[in-house]
Amino acid sequence: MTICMRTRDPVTGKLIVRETDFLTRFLFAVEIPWNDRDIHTFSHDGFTSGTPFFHIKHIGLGSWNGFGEWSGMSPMPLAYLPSYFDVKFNGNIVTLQQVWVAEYKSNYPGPYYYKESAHPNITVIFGVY
Amino acid sequence: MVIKAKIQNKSNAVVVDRSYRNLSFNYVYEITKTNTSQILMDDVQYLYNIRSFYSDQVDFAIIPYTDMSSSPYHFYNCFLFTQPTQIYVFSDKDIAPKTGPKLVIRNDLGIPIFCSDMKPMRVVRHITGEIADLGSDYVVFNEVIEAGRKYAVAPCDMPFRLWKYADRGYEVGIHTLFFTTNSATGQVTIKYGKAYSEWGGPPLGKSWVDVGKRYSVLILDVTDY
Repeated sequence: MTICMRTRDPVTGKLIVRETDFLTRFLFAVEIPWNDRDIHTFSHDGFTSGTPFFHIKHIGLGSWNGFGEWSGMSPMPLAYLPSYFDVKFNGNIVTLQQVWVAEYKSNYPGPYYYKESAHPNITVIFGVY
Repeated sequence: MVIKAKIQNKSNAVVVDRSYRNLSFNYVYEITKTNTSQILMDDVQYLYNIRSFYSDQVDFAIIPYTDMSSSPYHFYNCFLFTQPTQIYVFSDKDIAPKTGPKLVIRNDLGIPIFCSDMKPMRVVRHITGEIADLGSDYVVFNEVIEAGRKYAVAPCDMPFRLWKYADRGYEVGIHTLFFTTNSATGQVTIKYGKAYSEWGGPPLGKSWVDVGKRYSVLILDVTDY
């Protein structure tokens, strides 16, 4: 029997659960060094139970690396990410690689490049929905 | 009352089994300052925190920013918002049912693995791809997901072009993704183009810097959260 999974508070009538509440599932997370460029392969049977996704928190405390840019005359403190993540799902397998955009490092008279001395590791979260 | 049931998705895959886990809604706060840097802090008692962003203003952008007021420079935890923005944080909280009406699912050891009042993270889309030409504007995603639902975006990979405009003096722009989410219609739009600009000093050589073309954005349902 297929039922529509919606349950309401009997007093207020407010919906307290709907079927979409179950569809997202956190599977696992991995941590790699900030400058890691290796190809990593992981497997998890849960990948085939829905549409797989990954997420890396956008640059923020304890997360990704950032580059700062300075024009040379006045601070122009826009920052950007020096790398992106090449993630491929295939059945219950996922491959992960950080691809570094190295061209922009100290490319005078292009943007200057600043970095913190202590880089946090990068945490990648995998799940399905 | 104890009910034994199997919960499957449309592909008939079991979505809640003994190893089911999900992140839960932790808190939401609002940033009303715009065009200035904002430092976002994590809830460090949890291993995993996902930030998602919502604004009822059109075309809001979340731009990495550098706090250059101290050394070493801290650009890890700074953002610049182009519109007032709400930030929904999801964390790996223990599933602990509270009092009141709710649905609790326990595994075969009796440990709660789902509780409706924990407000589970609800991913509805994972948008990925590449911007073909960072010098052009694009609509990356434009869809009515479900009317009446409120959606927030969690950017991951972001395309970037830093652009010194030849025809605008010292203005420097950053081209990246910006977002519109409409909680009445359920429509979410993600565009690529100029998201922010400011004075950046005289041009020094390059007229633009392309940083990356790849994008990856989660869209989360945060209705009633």
